[in-house]
Amino acid sequence: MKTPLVRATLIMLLLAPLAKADIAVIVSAKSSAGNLTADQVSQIFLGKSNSFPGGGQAVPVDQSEGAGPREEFYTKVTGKSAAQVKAYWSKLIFSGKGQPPKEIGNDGAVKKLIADNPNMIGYIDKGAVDSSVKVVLSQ
Amino acid sequence: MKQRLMVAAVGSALVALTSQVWADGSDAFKLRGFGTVGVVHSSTDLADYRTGLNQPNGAGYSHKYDFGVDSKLGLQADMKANDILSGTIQVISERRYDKTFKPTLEWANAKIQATSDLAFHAGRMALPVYMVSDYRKVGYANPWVRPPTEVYFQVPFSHLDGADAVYRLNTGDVSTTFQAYGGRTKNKIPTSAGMNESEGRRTLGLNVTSEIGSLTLRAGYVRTRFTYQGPATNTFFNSYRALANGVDKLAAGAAQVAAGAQSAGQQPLPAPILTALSNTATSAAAAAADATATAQSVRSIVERYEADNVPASFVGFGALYDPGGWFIQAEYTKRTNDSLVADTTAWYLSGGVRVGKFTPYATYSRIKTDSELTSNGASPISAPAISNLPAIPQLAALQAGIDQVNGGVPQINQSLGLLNGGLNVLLFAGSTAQRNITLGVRWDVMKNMDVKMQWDQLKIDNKGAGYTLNNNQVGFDPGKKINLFSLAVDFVF
Repeated sequence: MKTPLVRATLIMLLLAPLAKADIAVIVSAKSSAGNLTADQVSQIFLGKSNSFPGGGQAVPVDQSEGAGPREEFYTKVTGKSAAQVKAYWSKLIFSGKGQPPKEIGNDGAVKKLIADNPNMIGYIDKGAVDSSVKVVLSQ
Repeated sequence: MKQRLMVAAVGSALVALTSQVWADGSDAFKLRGFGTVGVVHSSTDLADYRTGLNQPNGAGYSHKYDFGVDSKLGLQADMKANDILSGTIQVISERRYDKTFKPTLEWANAKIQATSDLAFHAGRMALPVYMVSDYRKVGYANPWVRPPTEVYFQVPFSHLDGADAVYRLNTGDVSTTFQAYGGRTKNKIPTSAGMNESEGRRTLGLNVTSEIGSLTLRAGYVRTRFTYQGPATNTFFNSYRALANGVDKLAAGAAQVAAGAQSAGQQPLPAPILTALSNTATSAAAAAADATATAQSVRSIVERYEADNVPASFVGFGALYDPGGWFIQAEYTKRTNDSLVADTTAWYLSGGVRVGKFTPYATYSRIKTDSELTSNGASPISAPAISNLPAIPQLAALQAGIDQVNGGVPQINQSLGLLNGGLNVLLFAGSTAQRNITLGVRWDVMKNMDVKMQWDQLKIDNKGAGYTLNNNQVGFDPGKKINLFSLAVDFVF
């Protein structure tokens, strides 16, 4: 009796962080941008590219520092920890070479902004995806 | 003057832009800052360790624990008028040449983003001669407490008043940036012999940086007209010049004697006197020629060693491989110039591993002198003394001239010897050879802040001058290894 329950609980505990960690990189449903690779997304979010591979301006938006998906996104997509990303932007900011993406609250705020702006690109928890946005990369 | 006007013009344009942006209430204005609180302790108290040629004192002799070596505070305002025009002002407070922490205007430049790949800057900007030139003062952006001083001491300027063009070329997986820049730069350098002024005029440079995935490669070249002068060097070279003028007079005197002896030799005089006159004429002509050669040699020493608007160049190659979990970074640099300031080659190799919030790192850095640290100096007058004349009243005036020339030669040679000795002291003071081994750890203690602990072991080659040291005291033994302990907290906001 007890064993399946314990097992189920254990499996849930193990899966929970993984399930929560799924990140969707999104653009507006109105955007013509196609699927992107992690490298391409990384280029846009690290300020190395300001356009989509198929053309068109790409404006990245970040979630607030400390928001759940943020650390996950950078670790998975750019391979950099939050501290590394911070140090990376410090290099660019204080050498006058670039500005980090604008910070826009959480999943909901990012989704709403992106839905209305076809040139923007952001990331949210996969569970928050709806028809107003299009997933271009899933991690 | 022109330079100041230009900086002032760009500065006021930026202030105007700021107030406009403020009025709009938009977020096109960003005020950010960076800083370091650091302390350094040195194992010797007979010399000061410092991190820039413009720092007058440091850890060791002046301070047992020095908070002034690495501590600094920077404020940066970024303004954006529209997608094309933006501007940056950066003010830094750190230990200056005059021992104060008076804030200095590090940058004030306007940027025009002409196309998505082409931008221009004008005003005061970073002098981009090193791999980490433009964020070298931002501790948080660097793995170490400070960039390896052996390499970063070579060019004593951090900013440039001028303009640049930056072009970015994306080809497949390679992103290459070309930066061409020009302008002028100036700095004050405190020395034991007074405050020197260092200046680079007509500076022109080109950098090419390629990013290929985790690999960054950089090559840079810059040339300038370099001046490095101060009260001591000016007095020194003026003494050489005065001496050259003195030698000219002596040569003229010897030539007069030669001419006088020759014309006296035309007179109907007894044979022994004619022989003596002829000998005098010959030896006086030789002395005149020799003195002229010495005067030339003295002037060529001034020409060769005085750092007055002389051609200078700096070449640097850099590489960084940073896949995330670890990094390795190296730079190789070469400084050349046509003056008593030494030509140098310097390089470092550094690497670190990121283990969670900790990044232990190690660096080996080295600098050596490429130019000669000794000189024979100007050649003395070596012709034999002018031969004397028989003591007869008719030749007394001529003999007086001979005595004057013969008496002047040793005096000139003695002064020349002293100056040549001084030249060698100055050349040796430019001796740079040393190496440094660094071990440290960076701890990303919290968001926007790191703590670093660093140990450096400095060894000066051949009992040299100690390039990164100052205020060396009697009894300081340059052959002995120096241990430096640094603790720093870096932050950005």
